[in-house]
Amino acid sequence: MNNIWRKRLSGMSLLLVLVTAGCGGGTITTGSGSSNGETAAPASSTTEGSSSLSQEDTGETIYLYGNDFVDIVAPEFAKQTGYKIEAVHYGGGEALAKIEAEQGNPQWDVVMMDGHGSIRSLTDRGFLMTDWTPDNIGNLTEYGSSLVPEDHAYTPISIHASAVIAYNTNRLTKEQAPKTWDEFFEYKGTAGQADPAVAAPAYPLVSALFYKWGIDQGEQKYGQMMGNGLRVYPKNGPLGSALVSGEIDIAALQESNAYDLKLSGEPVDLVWPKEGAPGSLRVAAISKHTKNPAAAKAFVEFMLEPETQQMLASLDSSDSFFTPLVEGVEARKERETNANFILPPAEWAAEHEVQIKTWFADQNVN
Amino acid sequence: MKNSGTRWGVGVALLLFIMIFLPLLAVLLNAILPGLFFGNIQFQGFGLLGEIFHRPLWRQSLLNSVWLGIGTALLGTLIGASLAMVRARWNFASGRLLDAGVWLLLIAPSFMLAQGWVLYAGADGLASRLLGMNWVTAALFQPSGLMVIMALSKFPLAYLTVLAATEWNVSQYGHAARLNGAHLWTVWRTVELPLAAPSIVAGATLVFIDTVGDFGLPAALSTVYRFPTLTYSIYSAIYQSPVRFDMAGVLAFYLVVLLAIAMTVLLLSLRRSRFDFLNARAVRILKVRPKSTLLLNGVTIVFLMLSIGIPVGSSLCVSLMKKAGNGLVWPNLTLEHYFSLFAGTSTDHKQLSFFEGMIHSLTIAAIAAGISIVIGFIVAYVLTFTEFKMKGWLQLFSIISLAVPGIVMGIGYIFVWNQKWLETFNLHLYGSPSLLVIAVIAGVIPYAVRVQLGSFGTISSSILNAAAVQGAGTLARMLHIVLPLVRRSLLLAVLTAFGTSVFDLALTSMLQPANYVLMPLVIDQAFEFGRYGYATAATVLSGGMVLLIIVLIQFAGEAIFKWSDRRDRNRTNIQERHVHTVQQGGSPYEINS
Repeated sequence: MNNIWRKRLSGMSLLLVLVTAGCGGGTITTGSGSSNGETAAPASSTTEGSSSLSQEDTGETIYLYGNDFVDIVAPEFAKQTGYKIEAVHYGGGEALAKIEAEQGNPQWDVVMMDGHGSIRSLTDRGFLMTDWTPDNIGNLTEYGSSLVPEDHAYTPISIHASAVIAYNTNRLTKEQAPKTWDEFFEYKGTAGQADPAVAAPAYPLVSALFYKWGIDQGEQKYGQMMGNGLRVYPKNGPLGSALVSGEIDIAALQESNAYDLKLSGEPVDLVWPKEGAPGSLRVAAISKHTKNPAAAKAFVEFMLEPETQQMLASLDSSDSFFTPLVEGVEARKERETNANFILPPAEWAAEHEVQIKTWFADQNVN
Repeated sequence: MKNSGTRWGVGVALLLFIMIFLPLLAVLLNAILPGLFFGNIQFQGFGLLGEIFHRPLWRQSLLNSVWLGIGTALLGTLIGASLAMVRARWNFASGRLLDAGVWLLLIAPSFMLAQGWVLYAGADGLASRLLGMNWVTAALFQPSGLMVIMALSKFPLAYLTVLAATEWNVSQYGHAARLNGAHLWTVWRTVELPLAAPSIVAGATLVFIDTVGDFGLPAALSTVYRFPTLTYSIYSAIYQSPVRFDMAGVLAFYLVVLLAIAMTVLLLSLRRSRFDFLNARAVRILKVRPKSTLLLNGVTIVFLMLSIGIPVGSSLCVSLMKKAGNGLVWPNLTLEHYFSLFAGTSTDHKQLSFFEGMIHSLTIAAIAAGISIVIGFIVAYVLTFTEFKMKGWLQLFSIISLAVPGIVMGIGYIFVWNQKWLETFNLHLYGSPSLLVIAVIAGVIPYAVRVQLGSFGTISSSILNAAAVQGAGTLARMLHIVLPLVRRSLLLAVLTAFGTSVFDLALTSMLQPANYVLMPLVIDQAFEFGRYGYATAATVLSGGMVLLIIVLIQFAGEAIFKWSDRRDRNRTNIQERHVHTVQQGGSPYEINS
């Protein structure tokens, strides 16, 4: 009797697991791999040096988690180097959540996203491969080189403005629009920005201003503005819509969204403040637990190639609004030619992240 | 019989524990033991649980959730219960339309409804741009406005609960009162309302549970109005860096506490009421045709216009317009968004492939619906016909996923299923569609169980006892007695499970295998990147397809039932005729041959 009992019980649960595993399990390799065309012939490497390096790899597909360009760079990388890569798009927050949730058994090899503070924090907690210098690091501009961390935990790729001052031209003239961040915070009408707890570019914005003013004065300025009814939208998309509809007069809006609206003929213009726009540094980093370090390293080298950066800077979409950090690459012409940035050191941004975000979230509820 | 029932009971209870309770437990444990699932056990104490009274965001989220839940429960129950009472008593033309609309709302994912509401009422929306009603934005995007939107989306739960209660035809009490000269209003107030009260309470708690646990609606609505709820704060705790799973655990704990309170109320009211409203039987009360149906039809249609017309209509309008702001005029109309659905490739994350997403989502939903029905059938059998001692737990496991938001279950699933040691058993399901199937099953189990419990209740257990005496085992009794009797509600259960699982957003966004396109992600991504035309066209087309599939399967099912009934009848007729001949003139030898 007991045996039958056990058999039926384990049989039933195993059956369910196996049925579902069998039904779904097979689909992933064929489904995702072939449909994206991102898999290329293995081991037929064309990049110099990678054929010797690939000895340490398993030859399996590497996974790139990223919040921009993933659809474009992955097939190009596979084509050029022969390594197999699967690129997955996540919002910045989602990518970090995935990385953290998977920490018992990481499923990713390379991460490429905005926000060097968050990446620094991953480094400090032992998620990332350190002390490896890419061969192409010399391609970086002077500004780019100044952003390389000492332990080489990540490599800077490009930088863009996490926020510029955008305004609705139906409600404000060019003269009336705030020209500096101080003027922005003293504005008497309705203003908006994205939520640092949710939108990836919003913490770089808030942390840059807190860095510029100091924590105390930052809190005071934000506190005052929230008292005046600063509207906080979860992401930059809805923030842009609110600006277009006239729900708010001015916004601290991500550069690409602002240019997108302006170029598509919406009543939006933007100001690049003289003291600089809060910078959002895009970096690439490799997982400490990658089973394919050669392929992962080849990807970082690939991102530092001038051809790769030029390709991205020439895209016909708002994603191409950024300052390339590789020598000899031209940024888009429609953009501010003299783009300068306020960028707190990664350590500072990482150290104060919880404090600033918690303060912001708690202030913002009333 | 008893032992066999216990075996099946333990089996399904264990299965539901692994699929539903374990992931939830994993998230809750994070509040006191962060790092438990990463091989780093350290007890952090219960201090974080008390933080909710100090952190303004958390306190506000808790309060918002409670108020939104209570407000929606009151308003939604008022709407649902009144409509149900009207529907149960009177026969009017739009009654069937109301039933269909209620099922549509029940199956429709909340993020789709929310998308429609935002397109309608947002500052940039149809109401202000097309209809010139600028006041709508301010009126709806404030706490009581949100309650109205939520109530209009969640009232079906109250409607169906109260309607199910009217199946217990107790009109004789009313008739007695009328004979004694009581006025119609007095009868309603003193007889019918008290009799319906338990079901109204049950309906209200279900609305409360669904509102508090919902993520789609509040999340989408807070893109235009900041109103943090518990589910939204869990979402932001997970998406901040460094990720605070312990905070998510704390917030999830309070969510579970709220739900536990609501469920206690539900269980208490259940003792006196039926809540297994999801069943296939027609309402048996004889309906009266009122003198004038104009008012009834009018009220019903107004409610349907508000609850379905606005969100679905807004999506439909936007999907047909070149530019959303330019109005419904001929030159602005286009079908290009629909054509673009079939041009997209999966390599553009802003515009994922509709076709691929549809195939994946339909497949997963179909597999999940099939398996969940089998599990639901066994659970309903154990709960109805056996003496299984842990029935209470089984009840709890089978309803809890209705209340716990998908996002919490999603993290729990990663904790539980992304373990290195599972790889050695080839059971590392994280990152494969099979985990999605399991998660989706967990999500629809409450529906699968409730629908079947309803019809199981009508079967007398004496038939089963008789069969058991004849030596039929549990499996034989399930297959040959219960199954044929409940086949109609089984079909309904399959369709409900299928319908609710196609668009499960929160779970899919957490557990989506790399670059595995799914329908809710297609819609959500396009919406998030401002491609409203693509998002709404995908919503309308996929929603239409799912509805069509459901209707077709239902027709096919009914046809098959009729055909098999006819065949059975014919066979019985032949046998009867045969018996007749034998009795008339045949010999015993002939019978045996």
